[in-house]
Amino acid sequence: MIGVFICFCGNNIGGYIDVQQLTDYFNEEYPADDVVAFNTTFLCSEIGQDLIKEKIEELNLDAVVIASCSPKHHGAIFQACIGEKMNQYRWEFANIREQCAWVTPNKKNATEKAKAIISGAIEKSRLLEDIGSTRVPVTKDILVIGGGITGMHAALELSAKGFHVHLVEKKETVGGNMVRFDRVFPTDDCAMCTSSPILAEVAMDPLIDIYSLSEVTEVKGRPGEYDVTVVKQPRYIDETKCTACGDCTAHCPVEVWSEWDEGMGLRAATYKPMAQAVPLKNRINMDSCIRCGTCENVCKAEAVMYNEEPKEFTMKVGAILVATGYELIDLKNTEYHQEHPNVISGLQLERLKVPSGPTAGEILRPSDGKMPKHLVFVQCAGSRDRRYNVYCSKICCMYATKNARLIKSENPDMKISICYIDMRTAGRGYEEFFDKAREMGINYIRGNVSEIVPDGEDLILKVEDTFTSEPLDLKADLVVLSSGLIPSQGTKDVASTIHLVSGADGFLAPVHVKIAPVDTATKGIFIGGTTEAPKPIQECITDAGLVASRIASFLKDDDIEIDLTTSKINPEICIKCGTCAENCVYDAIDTTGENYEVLDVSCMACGKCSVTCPTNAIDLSLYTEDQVIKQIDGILAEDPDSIIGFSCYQCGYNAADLAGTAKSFIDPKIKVVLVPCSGRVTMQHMLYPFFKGARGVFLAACLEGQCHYIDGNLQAKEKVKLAKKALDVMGVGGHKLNLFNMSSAEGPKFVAAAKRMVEICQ
Amino acid sequence: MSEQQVTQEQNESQEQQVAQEQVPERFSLFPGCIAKNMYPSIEKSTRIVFEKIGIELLDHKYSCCPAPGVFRGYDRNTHMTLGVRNLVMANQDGVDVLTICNGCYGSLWEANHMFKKSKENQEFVNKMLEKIGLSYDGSTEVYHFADILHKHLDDIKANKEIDLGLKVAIHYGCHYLRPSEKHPDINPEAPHIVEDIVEALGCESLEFKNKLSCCGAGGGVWSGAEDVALKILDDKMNKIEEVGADCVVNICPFCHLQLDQGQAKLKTHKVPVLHLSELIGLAFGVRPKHLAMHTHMVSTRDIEKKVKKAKKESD
Amino acid sequence: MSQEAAVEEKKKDEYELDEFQKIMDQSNILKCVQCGKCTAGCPAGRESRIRIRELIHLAHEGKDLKDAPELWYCTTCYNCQERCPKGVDTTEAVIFLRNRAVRKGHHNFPDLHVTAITSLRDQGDGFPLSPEVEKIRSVIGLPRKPIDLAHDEEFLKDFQKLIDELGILDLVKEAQAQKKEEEEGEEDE
Repeated sequence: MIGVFICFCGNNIGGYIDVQQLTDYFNEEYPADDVVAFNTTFLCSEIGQDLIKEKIEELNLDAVVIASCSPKHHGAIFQACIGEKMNQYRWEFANIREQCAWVTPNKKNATEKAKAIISGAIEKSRLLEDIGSTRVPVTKDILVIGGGITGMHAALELSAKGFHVHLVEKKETVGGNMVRFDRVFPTDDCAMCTSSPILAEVAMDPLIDIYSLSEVTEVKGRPGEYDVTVVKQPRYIDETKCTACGDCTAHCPVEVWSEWDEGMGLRAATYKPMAQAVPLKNRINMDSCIRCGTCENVCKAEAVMYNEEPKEFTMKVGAILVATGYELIDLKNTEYHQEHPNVISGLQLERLKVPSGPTAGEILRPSDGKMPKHLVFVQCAGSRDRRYNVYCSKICCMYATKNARLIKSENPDMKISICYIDMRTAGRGYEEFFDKAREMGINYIRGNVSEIVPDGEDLILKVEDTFTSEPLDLKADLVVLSSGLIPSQGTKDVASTIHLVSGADGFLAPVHVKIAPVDTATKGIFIGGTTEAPKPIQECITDAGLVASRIASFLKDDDIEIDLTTSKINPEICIKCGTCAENCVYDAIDTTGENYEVLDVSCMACGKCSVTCPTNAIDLSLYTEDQVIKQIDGILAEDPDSIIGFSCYQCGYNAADLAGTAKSFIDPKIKVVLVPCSGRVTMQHMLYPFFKGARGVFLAACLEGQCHYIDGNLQAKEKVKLAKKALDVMGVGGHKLNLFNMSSAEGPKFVAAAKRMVEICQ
Repeated sequence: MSEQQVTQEQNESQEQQVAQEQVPERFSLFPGCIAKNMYPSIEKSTRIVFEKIGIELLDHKYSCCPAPGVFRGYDRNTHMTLGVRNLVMANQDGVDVLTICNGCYGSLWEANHMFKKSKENQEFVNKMLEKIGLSYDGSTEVYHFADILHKHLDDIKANKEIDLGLKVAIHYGCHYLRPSEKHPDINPEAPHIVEDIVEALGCESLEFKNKLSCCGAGGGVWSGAEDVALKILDDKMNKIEEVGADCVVNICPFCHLQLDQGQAKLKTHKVPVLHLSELIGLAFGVRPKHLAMHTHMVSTRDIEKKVKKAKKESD
Repeated sequence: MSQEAAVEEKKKDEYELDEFQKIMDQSNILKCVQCGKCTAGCPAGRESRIRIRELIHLAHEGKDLKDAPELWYCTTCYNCQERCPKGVDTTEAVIFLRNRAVRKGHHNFPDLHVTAITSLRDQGDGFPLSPEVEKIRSVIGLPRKPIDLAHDEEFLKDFQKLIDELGILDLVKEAQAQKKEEEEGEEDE
C-alpha cells in the first residue's frame, strides 16, 4: 500500500491546484488500487506530520509519497518524520508547488500536471528499498581560505571553541581589504584601530596556523576528511630569522608602484605592506627585484634567501571555509576612463586618506600632487549595469558618503559632489549618516554619469540633474569611482579548485540564499563574507560568527553519520572490466578484492558509474535505472504529451525551483525528473520517453566547469550527442533532445530552456 | 526554432570570428549617394586605394541605402525593404557588400540584421520584393571599409609612398561604433581601428574631448533641424581646434558633408576634412588634383602643401 | 498614469495597443529606472530641448508624443542606447515613436524630409547627382554617370513600384495635407 499525502500549503498550492479533486482522483480513479490519498492544510506542520505517521502505522504503508513543496525546502523534515515509523528512505516527493502550482497559471492545467508528477512519484516509490547508514570519523582541524576580516574572525571564533585552524592567505599578510581602509561607516572608526587587535589575536593564537603567500591547489576526500594541498610561494626572506627591522627596505634601490597602496604610492623590492603585518616579516618581490645584493649585505639577521623555492605541503581537515572575498571592477577604457591618473577607485581614495599611507592622509591628486578643488564621486560605476555588474554592490552609497563627509570636515572649502541613481542607505544608523552628509553641504546630484571626459589633468563629467532635467558638464579635478565589487581572483580560483557552484554574478552560491546563507551544496564546505555577495563589514562579521557556529556543529562529534545512498555492485553480473573505477573521480571503487566493491565512505552518489557500466552491474541507490524508468512511466501514463526534463540536484533542479519562486510561466508539458547529476542520465533514460510517446527530453545541468561532481555534465554532453544520433536514425529527430547548462541561481535560464523545448517539440 | 538555430545561437560569437577571418577579397562597392553625387573625390580615392591593395570592387544597381536619418524615422519597414533590395543586387552575384559610409553601413547592416532575426520581417520583405521579381535569402554580408583596410594594414604600409606627418583628429561617426552589436570585438568606448591606419600612414592621431561623439547630422537633424546640427558641430569643432589638428579624418561621407559644409555655414572654423580613403590616397602618392579635392568646401590647400613637403622629405 | 492604466486605456483601440506594445516590447522601456545616463550623454540634448529620459518616461506612461517637436532632434547617435545600464533600446524607441507619430499624422516633421523622400522616390537617391558633379566625375576618370539604379530606367521603374507599394510617400503627403488643412482651419477661425 502506498500513501499519498497532498498539501494545500495554505493557498500556496490550494490556490493554484484543485487539491480535493487531486486527492479524490488518486483515491477513486487512479488505475492502481493500492494507492490511498490524503490531504491537509500544512503537511509540514505537526498536525500534518502526525497524519503521515498515523497512516503509516494504521495502513502499514510500504511507501509514502509527499506531494508538497520542493524537497529542498522541507525534505529533511519529512524524512525525519517518516524515519520515525519506517526506513527514512521509503518515501518519494512530488514537487507540486515550485514546479507546478507556481508556474502554471491555469488551475485545470496545474491540477492535471500535478496528477502526472504524483503518478511518477507513486510508480517510482514502488521500487524503493531500505537504505542504511554508517558512521565515519572526522578530522577536527579546519581550513580557512582567505585571511580577510571574515576569515580572521571565523578563525578566532573556531579557536575559541577549541578547534585547530589552518589560515591560508594569498598575500604576504593577513588582514584583507579592511586593514587598507581609512575609516569605516557608520561609526567613522579608524579601520586599523578596529582590526589591529584582531590581527594581533590571530597572530598569537596557538590554535591558529597562518600560511601567508599560500594558495590551495587541490582538495580531495569527503566531508569530515578532506586532503588539502597548499603551495606556499617563496618570501625570499627566512621567516624564522627576519626581525622586520626594515634595513633592507631602507637600502633597496628599487622604487615601483605599490600594490598594497593600489598604485597611489611607491615601494621597494623588499618590503612589508604595513607595520601591523601578520606575519611581521619582510618579503622580496621578485617581479621588481634587480638582484643587486644590497639587502643581503645589510641584513644583520642573514635572512635573505634569493634561491628559495615554492613549497608544497598537505593537510587533513574536516571542514573548509572559503572566505576569499572581493576586488573592484576595472573600468579602464570605458566611459569612466579609469586610465586617467585623476580618475581613481574608492579603494585608491582609502589609501590616500590613510594617515600612514603614501600621502600621509592628504587628498592629493595623482597627476600633480595638488589638492583638488572639486572632488566628484561617481556612484554605480560598473554596478546596476547590464554591461558590467547587473547587481547593486550594496556598500558604495555608504562608502562614498563616508569619505565625502570625512574629506569635507577636514577640508571645508573643497567642493564635493556625489552623482548617484538612488541612495541606498538601508542599515542601522545609515540614513542618519546620509542626512548629516547633506547638512554638511555635500552636493548630491541625482543622475547617472554618462561619461568622464578627460580635459588635460582635469575631468568633465557628463551628467543630467534629473530633478531639473538639465544636462550638466561638471568640471572636476579629481574623480572617485565608487567601483562595483566583483569576486576576487582568489574566489574564482578556489571555486574551480573545489568545484563550488557560483551564481550568475560570479559570487559563490550558498545552498539557500535566505535560510542557509553560509552553507554550500557540499557538506563540510562553507562560505562567508564577500565571497558570497558584496556586503558591509558588519555583515561579514555576522557571517563569520554564523559560519564558525555551523562548522562547530558539523564537527562536534568524533564521527558523522553518512547515509548509504551510494552505488551498489551486483557481483553476479559484474565482469570486472574496470570502467566504473576509471570513471570515478572519487576513487570510490575498490577493485583489489575478489569482487569489486563500492567504498561507501568515498562514494559521493553521483551515479556516473552506472551510466558507464557495460553490463548494468553497478547502480545508484535512490535513483536506480529502473526507478527512473518507472517514474517516467508514471508521468507519461498520465500525460503522454510531456517533455521530460532531467534536472541535476545542484543546479538544474534549483533553477527550476527558482523559476517557480519567481512565478514564471513554464508550459505544463514540462515535467522535471530529479537526478543527482546530469552524468547519471543513461542513454536508456534519454531514449525511453520517446518510445512512450513523450514529445521531447532535455537535461538541465550545471555550467561547464562547475559540475558538482567535476565532469558529470561533460559526460552527459557526450551521451546526449550519441543519443541525438540514435534519435536521428530512429526518425524521431535528435533535435528533440537537448542539454542546457545553468547555475543553481539561474531560474530565468530554466524558463528559457523550457520555452525553447516547447518550441522545438511543437 | 530548429535545433540548428539553437546551436547557431550558442556558437554565435565563434561563428562571427570565423566569418571575419574569411573575408572575401572581392566586394560589391556601395558608394552611397554622397560619395558618388557630391564628393566624387571619396569614390575615386576609394577605388584607387582598393585597387592598389589588391581588392577587386564591383558595381551594382544600387539606390540610396536608404539614409537612416529620414527614412527609418518615417517607416522602418520601408527602410528595411529598400535596404534589402540593395543587398539582393550583390546577392545575385554572390558577393558581399563593401560600404564606405557609416550611414550606408548602418542601414544595410540593420536591414540585414532585422531580416535575419525575424521570420515576420522575412515574409514581409520577400512579399514586397516579389512584386518586382526579387527575393532574398539573407546570405549576403555587409562590411565597412575601415575594417577591411585594417586587416590590410601591411598592404597599406607597402603601398605608402609618403609619410604624411599630419596631426589628425579622427572622427569615427556614430553608426560605425554603435550599436556595438555590429562590431563585437571593438570597444565602442576606446576603438583603435582608424588610429592604427592613420598611424601607419605616418600621421599622429590626436586625443581630444568628445572624440567619439556625434557630428550632429544624423537622425534627420541635418535636414530637419539645421540649427541643432550646427550647434553640435560647433562644439565638436571647438574641441578639434583646441588640440591643433591639421585635418579631421572621417570614415563616413555623411559626417564628411556635415564637417565640411557645416564649417562653411558656421564660418567660424576651417579645419580641412578628409575621408580616410582620401588620406590614404594622398599617402599612396595620388595627386590631389586627380582626386578633385577642390570640391571640398573647406580648402584642403594647406594639407596639400604639407603633403608636398612630406613627399620631398620622403624622396 | 500608471503603466497598467495606460495599457487599459490603449485597449480601447486595437491599433493603438499594438503600436504601444511594440514600443514596449521591442525597446525594453519597462526596464527604465530613469537614471538619466541617456540624457547625460546626449549631444542633441545639450543644444536643444530633447530629453531622452523624459521621452522614455512619457512613452512608458503611454503618452501620445506625436506632436513633440523634440522627437525630431535626436541624431540617432546611439550614445544613450549603448550606455544604457538597463538595456533599454532608447534610440530604437525614438525611431518607433517617430514612425508612430508619422502614422498618426504628426504635424511637426520638417518639410525638407518630404523633399528627401520625394527625391528618393523619383530619382533613387536621397542626394541626386547635379550637372556640376557629373562634370567633375568625368574629369577625374569616374563614369560621368554612376553605374547605379538612378541611371538605369528599368531598375528605377521597379524601384518606384516597390516604394509605391510600401506607401511611404502617400503617408507623408497625407500628413502634410492634413497639416495644411489644419493650418488653414486655424486661419479661418
